[in-house]
Amino acid sequence: MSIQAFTLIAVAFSLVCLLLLALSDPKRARVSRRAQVMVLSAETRKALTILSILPTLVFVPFGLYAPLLLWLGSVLVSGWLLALLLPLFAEVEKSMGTSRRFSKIQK
Amino acid sequence: MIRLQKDTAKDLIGLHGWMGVALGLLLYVVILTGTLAVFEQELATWANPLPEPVPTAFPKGIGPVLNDIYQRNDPAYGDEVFVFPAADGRLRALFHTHIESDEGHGVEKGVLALIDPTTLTVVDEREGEVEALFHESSSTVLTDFLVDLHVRLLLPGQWGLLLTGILGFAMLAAAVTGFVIHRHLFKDMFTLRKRGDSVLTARDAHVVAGTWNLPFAFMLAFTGAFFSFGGAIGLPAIAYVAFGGDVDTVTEEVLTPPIPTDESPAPLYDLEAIFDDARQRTGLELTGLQILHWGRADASVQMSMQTAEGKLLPDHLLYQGATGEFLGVKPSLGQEPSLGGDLAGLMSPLHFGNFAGLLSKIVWFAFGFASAYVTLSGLRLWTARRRDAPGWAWLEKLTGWVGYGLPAGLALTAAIFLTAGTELSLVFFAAAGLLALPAFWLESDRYSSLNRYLLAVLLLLLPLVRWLSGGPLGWSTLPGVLAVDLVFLLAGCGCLLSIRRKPVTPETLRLAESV
Repeated sequence: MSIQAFTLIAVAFSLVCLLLLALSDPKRARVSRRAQVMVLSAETRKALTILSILPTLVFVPFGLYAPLLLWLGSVLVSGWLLALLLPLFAEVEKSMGTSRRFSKIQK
Repeated sequence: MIRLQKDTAKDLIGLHGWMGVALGLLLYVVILTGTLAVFEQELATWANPLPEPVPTAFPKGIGPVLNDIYQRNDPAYGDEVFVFPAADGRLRALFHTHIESDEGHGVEKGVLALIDPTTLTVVDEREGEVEALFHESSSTVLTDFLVDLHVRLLLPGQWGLLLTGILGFAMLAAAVTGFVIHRHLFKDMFTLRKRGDSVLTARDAHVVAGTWNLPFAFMLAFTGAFFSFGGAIGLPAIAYVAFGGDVDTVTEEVLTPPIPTDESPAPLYDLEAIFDDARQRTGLELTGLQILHWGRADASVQMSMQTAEGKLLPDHLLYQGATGEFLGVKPSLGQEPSLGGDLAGLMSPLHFGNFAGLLSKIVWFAFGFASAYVTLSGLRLWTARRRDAPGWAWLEKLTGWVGYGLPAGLALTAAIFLTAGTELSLVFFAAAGLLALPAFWLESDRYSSLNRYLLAVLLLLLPLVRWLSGGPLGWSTLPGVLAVDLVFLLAGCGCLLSIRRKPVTPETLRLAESV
């Protein structure tokens, strides 16, 4: 597998973690006045945060600093785009979230 | 989350805002032009393409072409030879030496040749003082102008570098204060309230872009300040401390290969054989060439190679010029590998983002765009809140002029350059002046909207102007050129769509900024 392909896989992996973090973000749901699409415990969210930066454990020991920078940059840009795009899918999220534990969010 | 005392937080908010007001617009100019300059090569090729794509910067057969240039000119110009690709793919070969001018100060004189790498023909060759040669003989006028605006803000001498260096530090300070004053920075990473649902959308958008962009804002600001101050202050300071103020000697000490001086005449070894050896050793193509003392026994040939996959820095291979003997891999700075040399070498890929082809360029462009957005949205938040106070309405208009007028002015300059090819600084200042006029009778929101409409229309027209001015049209011949056309069309459509969306009212901005 080429270094570039591995970098792209690492970006995709971190992006999935970010997506789960965004969907389970209690503050995002609270300020949008809708139920959470996904409810995760604080520990699980912390674990997801750590998982999202896991690729650094491969890049740093092997001295792959260019892929590290590319991965970091891509993940940060993707995170920004995710934050910008998710409100556009508010209606979808709303319909998904109505059956969830709305009372928990209101606490 | 950083807990601050109320007074400290208030002071930092003031510092963040006032620094933005004082330097934000200039900073925005530097950031926006730098963002566009990430695609300098693509834009240069778009503006003045070669008949066909260039597969490699130094094609086979370039050695004899360089030898011919050396043979037909003053042999003294073989003292220092630099060959490097211009942004549009054409090769620039500078043969020059250092002489004393009539006024008694040192100047560089030589020959600058422009080579078409697809046909291996010299398309332009001029002799004279080096500084003037680069100005007169350029195939990349449009991107040279863009880079000059980014690096020096078109100011003469060292003044531009000093100003952009200060702006780099201002960006660093704004990033630090922004990081400290937004107490819930990480908690708010995904918090973007929908427009219409909340008056906080504008502030959220500013904070979200700033948060995700923070590490790269630090990095781009620091490396940018390094480049500005390195040339304007750093090098003269080193020369003053250790070399009696002689900048040329510093450069020589740091960059000249360690080959004992031998001025006896000796022909240069077969360049093509040296190039082939370098290709074989690295498996990579050449990106730059430096030959010192051509025609002497102590001649050296140094080549910069492409950056290998997964690496940040390229290798520089050194050969004995007279014998073609491989002398080793030379560090980019100094004669021995060093941490300082590596750190200085890292500044370039970290600032330009060109170490992994198009992919890294796209990422760097996105961060530049985010930084420009954060600067502009911060200024809009700050000025909108104070628009009723005397003087602030004009700053708001100034923000609309620079914020949307600058890209519109650049697009207009590009369009005029493609059709008329005139002096770009004059065109740019005329365009900027023209775009400023409506500010005298339109209120600021309408004025900003007008500039955004103009920007959209100009972006949509640019591909048409390029084609009408004789540019290529077929996708098969130059896909890169048409890809840039497509990006302009998409950007124009995106701009129109963003204007059609419900505007952020001044009341929204005022409320958002005050939270």
